[in-house]
Amino acid sequence: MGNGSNAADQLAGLFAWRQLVVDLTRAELRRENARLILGSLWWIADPLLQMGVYTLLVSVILARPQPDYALFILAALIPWKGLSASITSGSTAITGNERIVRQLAFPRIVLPVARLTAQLWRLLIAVLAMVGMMLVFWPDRASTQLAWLPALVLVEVVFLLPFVIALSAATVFVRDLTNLLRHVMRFGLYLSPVLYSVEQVIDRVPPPVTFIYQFNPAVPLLEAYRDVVYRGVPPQVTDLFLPLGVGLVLLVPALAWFGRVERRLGKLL
Amino acid sequence: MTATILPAPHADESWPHAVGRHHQAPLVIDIQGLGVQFSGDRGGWLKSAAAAVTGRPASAPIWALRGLDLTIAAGECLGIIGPNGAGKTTLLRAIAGLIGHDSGSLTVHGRISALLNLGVGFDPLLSGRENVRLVGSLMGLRRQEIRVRIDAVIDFADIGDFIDRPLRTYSSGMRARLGFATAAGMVEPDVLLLDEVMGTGDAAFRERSRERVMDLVQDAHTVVVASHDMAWISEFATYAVLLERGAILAEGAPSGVTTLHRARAVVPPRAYGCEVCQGQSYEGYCPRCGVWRRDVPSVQTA
Repeated sequence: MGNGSNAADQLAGLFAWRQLVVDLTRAELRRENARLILGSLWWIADPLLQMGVYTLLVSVILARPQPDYALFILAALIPWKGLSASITSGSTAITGNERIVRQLAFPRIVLPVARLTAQLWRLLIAVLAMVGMMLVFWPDRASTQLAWLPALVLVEVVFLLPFVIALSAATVFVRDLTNLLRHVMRFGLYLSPVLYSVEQVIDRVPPPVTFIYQFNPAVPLLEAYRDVVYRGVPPQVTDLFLPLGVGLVLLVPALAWFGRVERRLGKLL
Repeated sequence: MTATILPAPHADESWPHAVGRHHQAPLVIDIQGLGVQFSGDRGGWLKSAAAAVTGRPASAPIWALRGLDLTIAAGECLGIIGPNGAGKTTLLRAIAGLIGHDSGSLTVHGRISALLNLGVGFDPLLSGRENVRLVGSLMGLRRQEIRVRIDAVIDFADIGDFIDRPLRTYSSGMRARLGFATAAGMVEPDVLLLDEVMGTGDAAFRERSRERVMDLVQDAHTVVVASHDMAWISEFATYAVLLERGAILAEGAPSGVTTLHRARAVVPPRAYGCEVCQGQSYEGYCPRCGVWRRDVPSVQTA
């Protein structure tokens, strides 16, 4: 942990310790399966239960017509869960592993990255389960466009990486972030096209809001999932450059900042 | 505070490191003017956020170590003693690279294995075997190396079938045994850092861990031990350092340094009066109140 750590050093350290990333990811999934009866299956059970609640609320109580509303929200709930769970669990990557951080001197960058790879794994399981359910319940909506899903998952992870890295270290300095982020993500759920589609918003809100909406990097991502799953059309590839670009551009400062504060983390735990 | 060198009791034979102890062996740890500071109270969220962004500490610092000079050569077993809060663990954590330092320099040559708090790094939900594997990976070992060593570690810990049960089912002694076995057996460290670990486990395990530490010392490895076990330090350490309030108060022959520490720790004999009637008591017995005071070392008249 020398001085002058920068983004390149962090990436080099991450590459040299890639085996640890794999082992930490496995340990996290293993731990989850040891603690919960359903284990990682909660990752699909959670969005399914949420889907049930919202479907009941919107189609039955509010009686808004929308064909296959359950699939309509499930297609966005699963990637949304990927975003929010990665942010909230990534932010505690270092504080939650206090015991090993206090004991052993490995590059800290592996902790947030391993949290994200564990979330990536769960997201893949959930996406696979969603495709399986489509084939059973909505076979006429399944199309070859589903082949886009792995690419969308990849874009999502690239987008998340700098946020998870920076938040994991920031939470050590300001522990309150963990509490705050839960509410930010809840707020984000309603500000993103999960329970509704973009067209429904564009009609109703004034132009300044739609302008801001265009720069919400989660919007094109969630719409892309919905395009390939629900609408059966190819995603707007040019729009996906927004989350992808945000992820890649922010990665360098996130890594550099992490490297700068890394050696001070030990004293704060 | 300047360091005081105690005269070695038998500088010529029984304590070969007494004079010019670094001349034969290569330096493993070189510490010059080391200072480590911790920020004091949290100054509220605004200050902490500002600290996180600017990289400056949030509030008035506390110096856990100040101007520490210390060199340790290969094959030495250094004992660090001192009262609670003297900075023993901070020094070990700084050597292990777990915390950065704020002044001076610290150079370590070679591979370090730190055993700072036995078994605390383990995960309660994973089995012993999974934990040992994960800690091996956290130490930077390749899968192949872990596979080669893991059986020896498990044999050494000697906790039977528990190795495949979750760690939450372990007794604290078993946890400590596995912790020691992992740190001392997973890697062939050039420097082994131990923090108050001699008193863990039952008598048989204590003996074996002692042997393992002695083996490491004999193989020209370097061991740094922070301990309150003065008997252990004076018997096995080759050099000792007495820390107080973050600075070296004395260093030198372990027997001498531990004696000094004991002498400083003992509260000077004071007059004993009966706490009940404030009167004079004899051999801890107050004839007026009829009360025996048990913990009196010797009788001093008021």
